[in-house]
Amino acid sequence: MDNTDQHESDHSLEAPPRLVSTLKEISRHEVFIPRHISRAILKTAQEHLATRAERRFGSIREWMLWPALAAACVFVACIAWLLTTRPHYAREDFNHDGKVDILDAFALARQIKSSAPLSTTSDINGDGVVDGRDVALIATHAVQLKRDNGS
Amino acid sequence: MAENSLVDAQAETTKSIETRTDLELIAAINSGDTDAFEVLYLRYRDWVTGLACRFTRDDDLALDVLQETFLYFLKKFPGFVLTSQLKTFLYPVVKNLSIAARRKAQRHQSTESELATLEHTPTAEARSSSGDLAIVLGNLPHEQREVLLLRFVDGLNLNEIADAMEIPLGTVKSRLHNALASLRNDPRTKNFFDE
Repeated sequence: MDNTDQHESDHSLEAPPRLVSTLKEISRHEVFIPRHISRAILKTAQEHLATRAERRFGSIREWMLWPALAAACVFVACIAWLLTTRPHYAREDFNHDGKVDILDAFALARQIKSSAPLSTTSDINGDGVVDGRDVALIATHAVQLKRDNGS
Repeated sequence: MAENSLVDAQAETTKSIETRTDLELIAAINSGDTDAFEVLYLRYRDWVTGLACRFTRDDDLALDVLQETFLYFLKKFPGFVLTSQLKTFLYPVVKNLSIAARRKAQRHQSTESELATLEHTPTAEARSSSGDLAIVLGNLPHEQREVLLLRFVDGLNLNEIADAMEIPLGTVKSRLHNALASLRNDPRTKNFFDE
């Protein structure tokens, strides 16, 4: 039981029911509240709350504008970075595994065998035709690289 | 026009029996619900007007105070946080606005002590069955009378009175004790305690 409860139960602070009802009676003075006063108050409330909600929404929009712009900038930067840092492969590296070896010669040989259209970049020896000589050149190159790596 | 009034009255009745608590209504107002504000207004307008009238002794000034009180209250939104009873929050607002209203009206000296003497000075019509009580009440010190009325007329508990009047709880207790003792010891109001 806290202090207040103790005091609430203190007899010296209680009033007899008849005293309470008489106090209420003599204090009761009902003032007629004209309808136009209530309407004015409620209309002001409506306007105030609507304005505040609008302002809040507006400020949220304004607040969100900057992060959105920042996000857009980051997105553009990422795309640019991806484009500029796209790995460059050697012309002979047909399978794009980062090295020129016999597998690239096989890949080119398979392409020549299939009826798929061949890119001009596949013309390794620059004779205007993509054929077995290009495959042989890659194979030679691969062997040469192996020997270089080994030394 | 009369039809409109009827519609208004029906809407008021519907809103006055709204069961949401003050806290729930305040949360709703904070999110922009004007109907919730109307419910609170209908719930407290009579109390605010009665209290203002108690302080100003003038119906027109009381109505001015009613408007200003609710406009002041309205400006607290959004973001208003109710930490105690709404009456506890509204009481000092009504009191200060009543003082200001009287000052503006320049009908009487505008100090709080003057207001105190005006508050519940027994009136001619009070000289009936409850007239003696009104007279004795009018002779009580303003601070004691205020605590007495807040406790037994407005139904605030002691902690709420302390919050509303911004005084320590012990002071509330002693003022209430002294007010009741004065009534008990006065031959004109002694009979209220003879039960």
